[in-house]
Amino acid sequence: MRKIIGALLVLGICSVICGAAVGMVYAQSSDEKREEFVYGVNAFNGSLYHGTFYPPSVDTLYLLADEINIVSPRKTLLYYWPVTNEYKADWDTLSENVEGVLEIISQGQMIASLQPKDYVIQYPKGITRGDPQIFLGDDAQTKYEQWSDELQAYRFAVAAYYEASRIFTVTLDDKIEAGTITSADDVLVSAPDRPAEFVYSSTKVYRGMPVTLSSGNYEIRLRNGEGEIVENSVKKLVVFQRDRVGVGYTVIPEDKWTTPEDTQRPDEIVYVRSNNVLYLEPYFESEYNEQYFVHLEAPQAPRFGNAGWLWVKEGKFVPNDLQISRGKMWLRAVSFEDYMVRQIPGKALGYEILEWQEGISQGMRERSPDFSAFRLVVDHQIQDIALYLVGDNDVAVGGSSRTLDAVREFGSGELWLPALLPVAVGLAIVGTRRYSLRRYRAVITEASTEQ
Amino acid sequence: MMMTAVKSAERIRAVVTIHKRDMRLALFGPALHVVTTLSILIAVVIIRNYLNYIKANGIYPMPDLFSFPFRWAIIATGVYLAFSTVVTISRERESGTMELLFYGPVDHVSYVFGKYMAQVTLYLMILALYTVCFLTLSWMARIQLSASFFIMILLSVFTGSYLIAIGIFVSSVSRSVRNATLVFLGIVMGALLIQGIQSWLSNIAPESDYYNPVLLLQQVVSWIQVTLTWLSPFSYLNHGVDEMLRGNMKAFVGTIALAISFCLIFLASSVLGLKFRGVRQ
Repeated sequence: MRKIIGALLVLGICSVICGAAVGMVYAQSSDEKREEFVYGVNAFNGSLYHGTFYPPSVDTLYLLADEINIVSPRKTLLYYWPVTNEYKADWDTLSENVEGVLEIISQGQMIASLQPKDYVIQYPKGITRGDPQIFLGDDAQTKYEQWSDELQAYRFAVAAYYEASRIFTVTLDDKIEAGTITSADDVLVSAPDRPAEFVYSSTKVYRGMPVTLSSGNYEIRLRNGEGEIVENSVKKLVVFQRDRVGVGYTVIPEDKWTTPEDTQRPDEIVYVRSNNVLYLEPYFESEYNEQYFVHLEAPQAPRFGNAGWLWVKEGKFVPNDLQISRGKMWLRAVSFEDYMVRQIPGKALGYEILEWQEGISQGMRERSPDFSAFRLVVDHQIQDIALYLVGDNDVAVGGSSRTLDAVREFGSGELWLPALLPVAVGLAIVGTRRYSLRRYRAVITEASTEQ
Repeated sequence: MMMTAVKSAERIRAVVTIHKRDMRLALFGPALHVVTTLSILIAVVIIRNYLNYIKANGIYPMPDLFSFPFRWAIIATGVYLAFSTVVTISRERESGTMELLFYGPVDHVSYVFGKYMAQVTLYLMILALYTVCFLTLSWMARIQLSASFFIMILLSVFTGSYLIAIGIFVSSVSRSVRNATLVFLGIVMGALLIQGIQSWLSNIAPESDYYNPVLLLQQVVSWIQVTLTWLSPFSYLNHGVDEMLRGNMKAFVGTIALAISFCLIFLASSVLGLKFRGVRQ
């Protein structure tokens, strides 16, 4: 036993010392930038394309199944960035496409040989709204030109707006000087309209291999023009898909609207303080293997020894009414409304949440709502209340149900009372035993005295 | 045939006798009651923190408010019961009591199962006591105990029994009380600390390159953790609860099946270990 423990200790110490020695040797060159082969990847994460790269130190790529992902073999300058414990790429100095064919192998068989293509990724409704579109080959150039034309047109419109505003201001000044303004309408009607904000977003036209695979484990490698495998290009590829979909809620307490909480697990219990008002903002969400998803977005993140599951927030949506029930008894429905937040005037810090219409009627500037949500008033009677959404067909939306439970407020000393139960049980058992032993001894002593 | 039946009856009688004796020793001593009280106190502290958070922030979404504190209480109790088995068996061997028992109708199988059954019965009794405590807490805070809470209690029966089987195995192959205690505490502390070590290591930013010792250690710790996931009763408990909350009852039942399998493997190994190691000091 001692020999085994000793051998294990020696082995452990040696491995740490060897590791440290190797690390020190390599550390001497850690400031240098080195030209390296990397895979640049535009990976779809369920709501948008996430650009990242895989240095030689990372041996596995992670991609979502049945989606177009772009893998671009590149040469760049790599340097080590100790602050975040990862490699960074100096794309500005060197970003060179490595020509070749991307081979995808599954169970020892080559299943695809992908040539590079032009691609462009666009967000017609803006990046923050998600819903990306990817165009490949000739379409990429066409769509990029279309975006450029629209951007140009927007710039012209903005220039025209500023010119019109300048003319309007000069004309207004002239009219005021001439005394020809008779009503407020004279000022407002003729004011130029600002062009709508340009949210349409696009990348440039890049080159890469579009990879669309079903979930599974693969291997990839790049074969160059001479038919050789490019150094550092052989990597494992894990293609995965969401495990579940559901509806998450951002829960905003009325008195703490700046610190909302998210409830992401379906059938989770939302414990609430009674006499409280809550706002629930629903959003779509998907559940992924935590290890896979984290490494899809951050390939150099440390590996988890024991990875679990991760709910990932996706797009917001406009739902039907929120249904409230207790057990099988339906109680009521709450409608989805727009809300505005107003800072309370005066010295006291704080906010006030108003319905959008109410805010406008109280003189707030007309603007898009700050958030849209279901409003719930929590009183002390709320116990084991079920919340869920229904679709257009009146069927409950899967993964949208939650339970609401109002917690009773009580003094902190009260809570310790149940801890007395094991004490009481212990005292009863030990006390009974000691009492019976004493009686038993007394009986024996009595019996021996009588003899 | 007759001989086998007589032998089985003798063995069962020996198991029952050891079971009763160990139960009495544990119940009539103060240590078990101190541990149960402390475990419930830990659980109450955690629940109190949750309730204070809800009071301050208005909300706290979670799968079950009582699940985590209950797990802490039963883990602490399970570790104590397994540890007490380690100490009892090693002490009986050191003092010669074990040898004396084996001159009578006690054999390796009846000894191991008698010890195991005693600790498992105690564990079940404590589970019942904790359930009463948590029911009282839920009534006081007016929080309903969810179905998942009771399913977790069911899972904890199997993971707790597995932990006790590990304790019996360690003591059956150890030479002395000191060795057995050190090995058992090392295993338990290692299993509990490995997760903390991994998150600590992953937050270190080493100034080095690909073959950094910290990265090497991260990898080694990660492999150890994967191995522990397959062996540790704590991991089975957490994994089983997570899968049950995800609605993956197949994985939940699989976790129970694995816990039972490993429990039987460790009990069988304990019998073999006892035969191999012998009953003398």
